[in-house]
Amino acid sequence: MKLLSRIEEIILLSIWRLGEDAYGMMIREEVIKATGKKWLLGAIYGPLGRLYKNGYVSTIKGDPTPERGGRSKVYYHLSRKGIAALRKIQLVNSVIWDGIEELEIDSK
Amino acid sequence: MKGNKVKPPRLAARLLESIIQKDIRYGALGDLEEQFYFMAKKYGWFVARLLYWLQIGAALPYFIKNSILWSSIMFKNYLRTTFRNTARHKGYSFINLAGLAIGMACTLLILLWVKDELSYDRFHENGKNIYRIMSYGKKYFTAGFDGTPAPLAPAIEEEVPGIANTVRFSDVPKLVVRYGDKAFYETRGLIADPSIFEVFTFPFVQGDPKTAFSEPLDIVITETTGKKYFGDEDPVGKILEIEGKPATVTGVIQDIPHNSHIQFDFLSSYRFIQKLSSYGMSWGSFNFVTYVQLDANRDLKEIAKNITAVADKNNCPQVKDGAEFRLQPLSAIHLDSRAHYRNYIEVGDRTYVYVFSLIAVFVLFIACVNFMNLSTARSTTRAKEVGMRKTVGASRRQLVMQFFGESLFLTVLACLFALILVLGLLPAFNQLTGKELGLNFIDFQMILGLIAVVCLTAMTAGSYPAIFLSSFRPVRVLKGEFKSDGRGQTFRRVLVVIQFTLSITLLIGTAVASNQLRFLRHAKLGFNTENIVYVPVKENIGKRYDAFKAELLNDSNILSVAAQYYLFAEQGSFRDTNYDWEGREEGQQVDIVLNLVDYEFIPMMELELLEGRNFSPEYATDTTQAYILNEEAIKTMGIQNPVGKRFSYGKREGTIIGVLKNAHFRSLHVEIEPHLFFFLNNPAQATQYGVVLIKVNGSKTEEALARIQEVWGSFNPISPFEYHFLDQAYDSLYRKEKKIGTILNTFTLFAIVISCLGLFGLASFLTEQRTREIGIRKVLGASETGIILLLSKQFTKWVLFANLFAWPAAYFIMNGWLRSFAYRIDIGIWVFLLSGMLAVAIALATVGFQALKAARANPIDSLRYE
Repeated sequence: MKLLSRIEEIILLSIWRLGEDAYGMMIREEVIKATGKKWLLGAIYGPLGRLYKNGYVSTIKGDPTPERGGRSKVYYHLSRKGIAALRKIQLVNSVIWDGIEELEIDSK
Repeated sequence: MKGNKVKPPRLAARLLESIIQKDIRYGALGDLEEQFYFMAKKYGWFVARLLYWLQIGAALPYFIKNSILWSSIMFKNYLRTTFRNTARHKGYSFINLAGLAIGMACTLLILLWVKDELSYDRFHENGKNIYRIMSYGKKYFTAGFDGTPAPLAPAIEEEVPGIANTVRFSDVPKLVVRYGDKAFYETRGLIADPSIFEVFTFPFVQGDPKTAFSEPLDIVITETTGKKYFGDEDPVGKILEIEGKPATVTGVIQDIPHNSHIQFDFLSSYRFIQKLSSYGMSWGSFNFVTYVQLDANRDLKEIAKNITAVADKNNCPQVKDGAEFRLQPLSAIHLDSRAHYRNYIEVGDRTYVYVFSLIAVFVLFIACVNFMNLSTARSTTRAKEVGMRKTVGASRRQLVMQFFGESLFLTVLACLFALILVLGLLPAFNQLTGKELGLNFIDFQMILGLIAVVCLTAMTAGSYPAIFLSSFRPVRVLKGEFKSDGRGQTFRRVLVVIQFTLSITLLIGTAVASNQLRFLRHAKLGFNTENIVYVPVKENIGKRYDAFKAELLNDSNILSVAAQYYLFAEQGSFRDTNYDWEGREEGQQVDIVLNLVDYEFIPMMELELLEGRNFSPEYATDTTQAYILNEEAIKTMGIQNPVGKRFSYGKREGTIIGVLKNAHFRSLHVEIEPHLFFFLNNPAQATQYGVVLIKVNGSKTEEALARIQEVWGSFNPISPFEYHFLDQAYDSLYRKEKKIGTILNTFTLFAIVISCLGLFGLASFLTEQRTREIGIRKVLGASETGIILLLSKQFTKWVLFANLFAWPAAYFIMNGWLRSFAYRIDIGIWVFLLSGMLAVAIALATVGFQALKAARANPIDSLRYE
């Protein structure tokens, strides 16, 4: 399995965190919260599209709402493959970040 | 929600729609719209809109990265397919490429030529405001003439508002120019008012335009002329001896760009004329070309009317007779000048620019048709690939793009070959056209043109295959049910018909053009031009004419010697209106071409006298009072029983002694005009344009010429010996037509070669498809002839059919062209028949080769085929 890019990883985690509420606008806010950077809404669809295409997330359509020009909200969920990918990342991270606490002392 | 009236910007929405990945587009657009309304409520519509637009910028980088990645992967695949297809079918690929390359090379050459023709006179700074005054007569020169009277320019500059400046030009006769021991004949001289440098842009290398013409005999020369006489020495201040008169070089200008209609090697001021000769300076002799520089934004018609009014006020006889002046813009002069009266003017022709552009399109189209034809014919081969691609998910759009890409690839490749071809052919082409064309790859226009040609070709050539091939149904194709269906066949037939319609049209056009040319060059002029050599009346020839003549006649190979004031074939016509005759109606004016000749002229030319007699030494008055006119002049003046009637030219009173049968003294572009001859008393007056005509023994020309040179040398220590043949001088009147004819021939040949290449490819393919059928036919006893007939018939039919369209088209076009000649051939039916037959024969030969091969093949091999 290919490793995800950093922004893909953050989006995936945000979707997980948001649970039932994970649609575009909310995902963006979650990403902004996590990174502290202002993300334009348009910028998340690239990585999001790739996650969808590669099967890390699936979608469910909600009810149509007037403020969306009559369109339904589309909610994202982690797929099995998505969950596996996050686990994998966690594992990789824990291995390579191991011992990072000692770095602080040396760096002074 | 009230805000429904205001929606997100539609264009931005469309853009976002196209760059966001398809699978999540629906949700994304919803999100974006939701955010739009949310922002609108909070910050207002403007911010919301702005933010919406910004989303594009945010989404774009990912889109670009992604699409390039994917398309490059597919691109590699397409490229590979293209390569494989090209390599597998080497024959067809070669035909495709060769056809396209030749077609594009032709088109590029023609475009270079057209571009050059259109580039004339664009380099003058005041160009937009410069006009040439053209005279339009009522009876003669109804199509316009560039001559104007000498006093016109100063008069209108003073009296007509809106005219900022004027220049008068006149060409200079052939002059002997000498510096030290270097002596040459110069024909490219020009006389102009000093204002030439204010109106036109001819930059000085040395000297000052303002003072260049302070003395009457000051001259300005071009750099090349300077090198020719002075080598590396500084030309300024040097004295050139022109016809024995000293002229000071006061300035050197850059060589005249080849795309200038005004061409000269040396330039002298207007006052030079008064020193050198007695030009007609009256309002009645139209010997000068006048250019005017107008103030910006003037009403041309108004000014032209005022110019005519000024001439009328000064009693210009032609204007009194109904002639008028009009203004011709500088940029139109090169292409819209009919006459080659003046040797400093480079004449082009707008018609040929259009005709050649059309041919360029024709030839390119014929090449494109080859491509389309072969691609659709080979559709069976490609059908499986298309089916496969569709099955694994290729969209129709992708396939269309693939085939367009393929044609673009081949076109670019062909373009490279075409460029190589053009580079190779340019020297020959330049020789043919007398131009100095070159491929300039830094030229923006040139590159743009090249890209345009490539794109146009790729689009045209690829259009049908792309649409046709991408439309296959994968299920049918993969099941093997696909056969090249009727639609493709009909289309191919239509293409072949179009191709041959164009080719046959060109063929007929070429045939008619060369016939007309042959007609012009071999037309009965009404006098003899053969075995006549002429030399200029230069240096001592005029002064010692009788001795020169006697010396020449001592040689048995020299049959007769005559003198003429000027040669029609070289100088065109000197004309005047200042005549009076017995029975002239009040105010009647006739424009008559006049020339001075001696006793020998009429017998040497074998001109036929209808009435009266030739000049004769037996009548003492002939030298001062005799006139010989031609039929046309008598008719125009309306004289009954002309011989013996009183006639006068200016103050020269006399009588008509003879009437000549009409003859074509001038080029066959112009109708026969009234002509007048009177006696050339003193050949020394004729040093400007005069010629000595020498009739030699046709079988001993070499010896005669040697003798003439010897005699010339003994009379003229300075002037170089130069001779011409009279028939060649008449021949060169059709130089332009000859040049155009050769170019036309060449491109017609190319067009036919390309058409045949296509036909060859098509025939070989279709024959291959019918291999089995032919095998079976042979087994069942069909004869070779029968099979050849069978295979040839299908194409011959369509080529024959093409004649139906080509004949009327060619007739229409060529009839229009022929109308530009005063004397022309009738287009006979046989030209059409022959051209049609030739096309069929060529097609048959092309197809027949394939048919023969197929018919000869052993049926056993054929049946095993596939």
